[in-house]
Amino acid sequence: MRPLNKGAKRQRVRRDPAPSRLFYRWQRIWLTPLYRRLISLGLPMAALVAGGHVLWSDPDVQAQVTASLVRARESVERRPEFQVQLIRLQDVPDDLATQIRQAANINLPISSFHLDLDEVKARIEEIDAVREVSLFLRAGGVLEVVIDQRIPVVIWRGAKQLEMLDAEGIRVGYLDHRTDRPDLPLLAGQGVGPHIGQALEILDAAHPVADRIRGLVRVGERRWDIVLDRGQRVMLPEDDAVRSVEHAMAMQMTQDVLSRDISVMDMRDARRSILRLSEAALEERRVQQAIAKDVDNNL
Amino acid sequence: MTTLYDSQRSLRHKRRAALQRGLVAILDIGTSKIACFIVQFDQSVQSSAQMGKGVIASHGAFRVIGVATTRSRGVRYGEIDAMEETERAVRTAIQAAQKMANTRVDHVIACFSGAKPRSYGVTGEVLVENGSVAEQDIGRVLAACDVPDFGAGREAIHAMPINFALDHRTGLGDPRGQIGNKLSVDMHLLTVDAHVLDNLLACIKRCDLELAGVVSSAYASAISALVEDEQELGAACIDFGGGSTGVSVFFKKHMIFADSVRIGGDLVTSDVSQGLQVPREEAERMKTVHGGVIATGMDDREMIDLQSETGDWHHDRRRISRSDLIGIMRPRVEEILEGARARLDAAGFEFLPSQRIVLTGGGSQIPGLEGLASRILGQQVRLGRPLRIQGLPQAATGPAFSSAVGLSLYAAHPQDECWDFNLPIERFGGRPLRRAAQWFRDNW
Repeated sequence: MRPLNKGAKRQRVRRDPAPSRLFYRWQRIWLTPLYRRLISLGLPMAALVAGGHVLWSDPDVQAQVTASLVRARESVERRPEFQVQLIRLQDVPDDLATQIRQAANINLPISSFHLDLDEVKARIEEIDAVREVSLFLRAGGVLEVVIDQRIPVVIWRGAKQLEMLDAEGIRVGYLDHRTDRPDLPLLAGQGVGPHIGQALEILDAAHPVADRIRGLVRVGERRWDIVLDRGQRVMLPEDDAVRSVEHAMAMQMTQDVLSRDISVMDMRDARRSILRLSEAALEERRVQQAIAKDVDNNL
Repeated sequence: MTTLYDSQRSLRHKRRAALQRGLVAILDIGTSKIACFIVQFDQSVQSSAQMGKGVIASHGAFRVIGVATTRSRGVRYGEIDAMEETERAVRTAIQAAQKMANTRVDHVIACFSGAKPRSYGVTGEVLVENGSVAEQDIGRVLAACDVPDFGAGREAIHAMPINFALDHRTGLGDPRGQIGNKLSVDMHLLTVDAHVLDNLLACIKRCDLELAGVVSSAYASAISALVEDEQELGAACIDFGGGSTGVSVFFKKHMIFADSVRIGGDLVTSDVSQGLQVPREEAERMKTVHGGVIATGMDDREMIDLQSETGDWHHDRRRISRSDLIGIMRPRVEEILEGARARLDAAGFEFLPSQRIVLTGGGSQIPGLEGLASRILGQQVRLGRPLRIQGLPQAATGPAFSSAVGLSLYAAHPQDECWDFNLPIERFGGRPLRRAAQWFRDNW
């Protein structure tokens, strides 16, 4: 028989929701601040780290990640904003400019990220004619190269080649022929470098015979000889060379010594200058002396 | 007495640790419901209260941050009957309260109403050693109390010194520092069945909690339901519980007597259930919604539908008048009140200067109980609700929660008990040395 009061409110007692012992313990652990932090923060972190480690240990993934990183980097580097299109050299002679371009060894266009300016600078400074170089990356993809050139002041005849030296005695370049730079004086001998200033002073002092000077020779790495045409030499002392030159020039002005047939004018002893006659003059002198003796004998 | 002293002392240490930590769970294990409060103590207020600001200051020292109640299972007459069931109920209450408080508690102060409490007034007398009463004299006099033989299988849960007398002066609250020769003490000793305590301890332990104190619920509900004047001048608190009715008598702010009547509201429910042939849940609903103890002519006309689902039309369609219901409930309530009367008479309640009676507990909400009680217990009867404490939700302010609230007050401001004082060393005999030797043996 079905109950007649089916619609009546059923007075069923709700089951008391007692937590299981496990859930109770879990909740107590969860309410402990240390565990709570450990579980809510430490565990996910540990899982993340572990997952990341597992993923990273796969070489394929590693390669993919590095490749994508490289791609991303390159896509930035290849942007036109970072491309260097032009190298601009200012106030540089053409031959030096080609030399510099070769030394810099830059294949244009190039990304400025790939340009190691320090290295380029070092490479350009290896060129003899360059004292110092400054590199600037200008807007519009221009690499500006500002050169401080070395100025050759003398030509030095080395063992094999003619070299141009600047005032500090540093090589500026090579010459094939002396006549390529007739405006520069010629030096020879070992150990010329540090004494170029002195050599220039000597040459300056010797201006009365400038048209006759062939060059200066460093003798025994301690003193200078002035070499004139006709094989004449003026031997200068180790110190006070300029004064000796002036002395010699004074003698030249008053007595025209160097126009005469002498081979060596020895100024090494300041108190006593020595003139050495040439072979022909010596012979002539001997002949004249013999004639004089003959005359004396005949008289 | 010494093992008891030790165990109570360890409880006391745990309670102190809990107060230090600032969180304690209050658990009222009743027959019909289990209530759990989580109480947070404010250390600053706590310390100022200890500096002598008084009882009232300590009320602001704590705050209820979690409240949960659940239907009690496995508890009969205020005693744990089915451990597993009770444990589940305690877990439910603790978990819900923890969830509300959003913290975890480890220490529990519990109260229960059963276990056949029995009160003893014991006295001790000792000669003061140094002319003035020192702390250790109090320990000595407490140790010197002649403890009655309360029988095997019983344990003391309260041992409160309620009165000190020095020579011929009596009624001293705190005799420390006073000059005299002979110090005597009156102590109120409350014993309960030991196995009930053990069961409670085991139950709490199975919930991964630590018991930090046990209180008789008659005492706890009196703390919250009696106002200060009543506690001072003498009053009885009758806590109508589900399974048993607690009776406690207060005088001079000390509990001097406690007992329980092993009849409670559940029995009224089962009377209704049997008398009207309705299910127990329906009987409980009828008792709370329509129940009463004093019938008026109006009640004859107020008809109540009995709802049951047996399928028998005549059985399911019965109607009774409210007077019938009252007629069933009243004798049982009278029996409870008479039981309480008998306990009070045995305690000599009529000799107190004031004989105020306060009815509290869930059963005190029966309409008309006040009138019935005044016929049986005396004229000065009132219904007591627990004190308001901070953070307590409105739903938990009813008289059913007076013992839980009282327990919170007790936790914030505990009464001095015998085990708060250091008993003289000779009580222990050779125990400390033996214990040290035991410790060495255990560890090496």
